[in-house]
Amino acid sequence: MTFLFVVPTLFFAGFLLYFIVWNLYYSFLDYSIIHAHNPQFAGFGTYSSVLGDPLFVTAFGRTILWVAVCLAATNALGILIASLIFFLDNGKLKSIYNSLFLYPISISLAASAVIWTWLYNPQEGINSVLTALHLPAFSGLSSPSTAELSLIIVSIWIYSGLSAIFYYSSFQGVSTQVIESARADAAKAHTIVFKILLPEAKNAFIVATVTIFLFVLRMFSLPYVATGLDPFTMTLSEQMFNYFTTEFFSKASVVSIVVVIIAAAVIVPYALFGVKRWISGD
Amino acid sequence: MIKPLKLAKKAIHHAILIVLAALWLIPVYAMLIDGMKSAGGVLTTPILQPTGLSFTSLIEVSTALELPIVNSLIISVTTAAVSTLVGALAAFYFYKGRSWTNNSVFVIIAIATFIPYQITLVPVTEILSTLGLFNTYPGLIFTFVIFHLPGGALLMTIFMSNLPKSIIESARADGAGDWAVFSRVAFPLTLAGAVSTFILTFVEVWNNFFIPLVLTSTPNMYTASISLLSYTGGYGTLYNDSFAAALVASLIPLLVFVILGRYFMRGFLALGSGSKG
Amino acid sequence: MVKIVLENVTKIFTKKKQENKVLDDITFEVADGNFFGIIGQSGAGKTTLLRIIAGLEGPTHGRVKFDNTVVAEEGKIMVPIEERNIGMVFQTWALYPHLTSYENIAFPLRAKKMDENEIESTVLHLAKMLGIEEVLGRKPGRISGGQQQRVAVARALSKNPSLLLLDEPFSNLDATIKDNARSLIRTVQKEMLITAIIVSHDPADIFSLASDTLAITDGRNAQMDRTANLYHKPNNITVARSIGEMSVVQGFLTRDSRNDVEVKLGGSCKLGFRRDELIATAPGNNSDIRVGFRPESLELLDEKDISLKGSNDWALIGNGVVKICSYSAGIFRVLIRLEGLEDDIAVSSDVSIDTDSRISLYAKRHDLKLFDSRGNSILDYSTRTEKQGGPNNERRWISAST
Ligand SMILES: Nc1ncnc2c1ncn2[C@@H]1O[C@H](COP(=O)(O)OP(=O)(O)OP(=O)(O)O)[C@@H](O)[C@H]1O
Ligand SMILES: [Mg+2]
Repeated sequence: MTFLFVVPTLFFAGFLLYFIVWNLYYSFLDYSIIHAHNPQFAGFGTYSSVLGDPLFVTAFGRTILWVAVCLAATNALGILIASLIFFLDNGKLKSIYNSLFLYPISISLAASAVIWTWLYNPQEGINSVLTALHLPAFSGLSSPSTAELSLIIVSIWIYSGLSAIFYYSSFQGVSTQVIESARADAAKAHTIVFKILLPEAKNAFIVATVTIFLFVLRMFSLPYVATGLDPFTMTLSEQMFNYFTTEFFSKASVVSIVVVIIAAAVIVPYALFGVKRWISGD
Repeated sequence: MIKPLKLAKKAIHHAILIVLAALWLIPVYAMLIDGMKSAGGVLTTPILQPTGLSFTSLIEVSTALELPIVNSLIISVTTAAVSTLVGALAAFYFYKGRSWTNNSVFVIIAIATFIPYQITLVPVTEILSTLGLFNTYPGLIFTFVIFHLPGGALLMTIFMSNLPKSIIESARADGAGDWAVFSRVAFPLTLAGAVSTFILTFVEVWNNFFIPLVLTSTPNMYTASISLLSYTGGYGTLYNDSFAAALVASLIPLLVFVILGRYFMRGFLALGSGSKG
Repeated sequence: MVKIVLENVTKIFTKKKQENKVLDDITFEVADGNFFGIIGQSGAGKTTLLRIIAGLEGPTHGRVKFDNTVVAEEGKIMVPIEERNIGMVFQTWALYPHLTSYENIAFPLRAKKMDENEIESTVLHLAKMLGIEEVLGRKPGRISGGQQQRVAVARALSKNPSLLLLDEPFSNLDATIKDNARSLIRTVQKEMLITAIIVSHDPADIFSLASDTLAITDGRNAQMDRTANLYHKPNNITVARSIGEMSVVQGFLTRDSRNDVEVKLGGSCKLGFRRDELIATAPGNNSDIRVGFRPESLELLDEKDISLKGSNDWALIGNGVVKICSYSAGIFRVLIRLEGLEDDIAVSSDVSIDTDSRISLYAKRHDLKLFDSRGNSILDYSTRTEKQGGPNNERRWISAST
C-alpha cells in the first residue's frame, strides 16, 4: 500500500500532463480574439501561420543562439572556475569561492535584469569606467546590435557558478591518490585538468549542459524586465506571452508545443539516464 | 630556486580567482551601494562609485514592497513546505522500489520536474479563471505546487536513496507499518535533504516571475519579483528607486543563500551527481 | 515461541530478463525453541533464505509456515514482516542513528503502543541483562562496536519476539569479544525460550550456538543435520570445508573380492581397511577418489621418531617437509608438503615446528573422509563408531545440548 504515498504527487504531476494535452488540442484550433466564442478546428493552419511569422522565426533563432552561446561559455567558465578552486589548498576558501560564483542564481532574474540595466547604462554604468580608462564604450542594451549579447552576458554571469559546482564536485570524485601521483610526476596543472580531471567529468558536462539548456530555453523574465517585449531581444517564451496578451491563444499553444518538443528531446533521455544514477545506481 | 617560481604561480592563481570573483561581485556591489543612495544620487553619480549614503529610497521602497514581500513569503513557504513533505512521501514510495510501475512513475516525475512551466500559460489561466482562483493565494500556490512538487519528490528520492536498506527493514521487523517507518525513521533521517529541498524550492518560487505575472492582475496580489516591474523603464515608473527595489526584493533569498548556502548547494549537487551530493 | 517450516522454497531473482535461481527447493523445519544454524559459502543464498523467513522477500515457489499458519506461499506474502513478531539482528546492526540507545530499544515497543512505564521497565531490564545500562542515553555513533551490537540484540528482543533471526551478527566484532557476544546470545535465547536462526559462514558461530544446521551450497540443501554431524559426517567436500578446515588429497581406491578396501595415496602410502571397518558405497573397484583429513586427526612426528609405527589407530601417510607454521588461538597450524603428493596438507600442532623440518605424517585411520572425484562422500557413516575427536568446544557442546 506504499503506492498511496505517491498518489498526491501523481495528482499534481497529472496536471502537467493534462496541460500539455490541452495545449496540443488548442494548437489545432484557431482560438483567438477573433474566434473567441466558437474556435474551429484548424488542422495545421495555426502551426503554419506561427511558423511563417517572422517574429516567431527570429525569436526561435535567437533562443537557440542564446542557448548555444550560453552553454559554450558557462561550460568553459565552469571548468575554469572549478579548476582554479580545486587547486586551492584551503578548504574554507574553496567553499567561499564556490558560493561567490553561485550566488547570482539565488537572485531573481527580474532583479538581475534591473541591476544589469543600470550597469549597461550608457553614462553611469560600466561605460563610465571604460571611458575613464579611454576604452571604447559598450552600447549595451541601447543598441539593437548589442542588446542580445548584453543579455547573454547576464545569463552567463548567472549560470557559470552552477556549472562550476557541477564540475567541481566531479573533480572531487577523482581519487586523490591519482592526482597526488601525477603531482609527484611533476605534471603541470593544466595537464592534470585536461588529462585526469576532465575525462572524469562527463557527468558534470551532461548535467550542467542539460540544466542550463532548460533554464535558457525558458528564458523570459530577464529580457522581459530589461527591455520589455522588444523585437530585438524577444525569446520563444516571450513570443508565446506576446501571442497570449494579444489573445492569439492557439498561436501561444503552438509555441508551447514547440517548446515542449525541444525540451522533451533533452529531458526524456536525461530522465532515463538519471534514473540509473539517482536511485538504482549505487 | 624552485620556491620563487612556485610563489609566483601561487600568486597568479590567486590573482585570477580574485579578479574573477570581483567581476562576479560587481552587480551585487552595485545593488548594495546604489540601493543605499538617494534616488537623485543614483541618477547623478556613476553607479560603481559609493557616494552619499542615504536610506530614503530604501525606506520608501520597503514600505511599498511590504505587501508583495508578505505575499511572496506566504506563497513560497507554503509551496516549499508542501513540495518537500508531499515529495518526501513520494520518495518513500520510490525508495528502493524496483517494480515496473515504480520505475515508470519515477520517470514521469523526473520528466515533470524539468518541463518549462511557461508552456502552461494558456491552460493554467483558463482553469484558474474557471475555478475563480485567479488573483488568489490558493490559485498561485496550487499552480506553484504543480511545478515544484515533482522536483521536490525527485530531490527527496535522491536524498532518501542514501538510507541504508537495512535500517528501513529493521523498522519493519520492529513492527512499524508504512506510516511509522516513514515518519519515525525515513523522514527524520532525511531531514538535511528535506532542508535542501525546502530551500531550493523556496528560492525558486520566490524568484519566479512568470507565474504571478500571468496569474495576478491586482497590485495587492503582486509578489516581490513582479512588483519590480514598476521600477523599471517605461512611462511613469520610479526608475530611480530600482536599485533599492532590487535589493529589497532579493534580500530574503540572498540571506537564505548566505546563511544556508550549504544546503542550497547540496540540493543542486544532488540533482546533478545523484545521491552523493 | 514458534515452529518454522519451509517447504520446497525456491527463490529466483530476475534481473534484466536474466533468471538467477538463488535458492533451489529448500525444505526444513526448526522446532519450537530450537537454535538453528544456516551455513554456506559467500553467495550461497544464506541471507536470502533468512530474508524469506523474515518476510522481507517472498519465496518464488514453495511455502513458509509459522506453526500452522502459512505466512508466505508461491511469491505471495500473506503475513507481512511487521506482523510476524520477529527480532532481527543485521550484520551491520542497522541501529537508528538519530535515536539514542534507549529509544532504539524502545522503538518496537512504541510501534506496539505499549505504555511508557512498561517500556521503561522492559528497556532497563534488557539493558541490565546485556550490560549496556551506561550507554542508554547515547546515540549509536558514540558507542563501541560491541555495545552497538548489544543494543541491536536488545532491540531485537525488546518486543519479546517469538523468533530471533541473526545474520552474521558477530562478523563486525573484534575476535576478542566475539565469544562473549555468542555466550550472551545463547543465554538470552535459552532464558527467553525463543526459537532462533543464525546465518553465518563462520563455523565458530554455528558450533557455539546451533544444535541443528543446514548447509547450503549454491542455493541447494547440501546437508541438514545435527551440527556435529556436519563436521564428522559431511555429505561432500564443500559442506566439510564450510564447517571446518579439511585438507584434501588425490587417492586411488581398490576393492578386493571380499570387499576389503585399499586406499592408495601418492606414491608409497597404502591404507587397508577390512569391510567391517569401512564401507565405501561407491565408486567402482579401481577409481580415483579424494581423501580428506581434519587437522586434528593428523599427527606430525619427527622423521626419525617411530613411536606410532605399527599402531592400530594411526597410519603413516608419508614423509615430507614443513612449508610454513603459523599460530592462532593456542594452536599451531602447520602446512606440509608430502613427497609424491601434489596438495598441501594442514595439520594442527601443540608446538611450533621450524620451516623445512623433515617430518612424518600419521593419520587416524578411522577419521579419514573419502569422496568420489566429484566431491561427494562415499562413506557409509553408519558403520563408523560414534566416538571421534574434533574441536574441543564442539565436544563440550554436544553434552551441553542434549
Ligand atoms: N535482491 C537481489 N536481487 C538479485 N540478486 C540477489 C538479490 N539478493 C541476493 N542476490 C543474489 O543471490 C545470491 C545469494 O545472495 P545471499 O546474499 O543470499 O548470499 P549469502 O549466502 O548471504 O552470502 P554472504 O555470505 O556473502 O552474505 C548472490 O549471488 C546474490 O548476488
Ligand atoms: Mg549474507
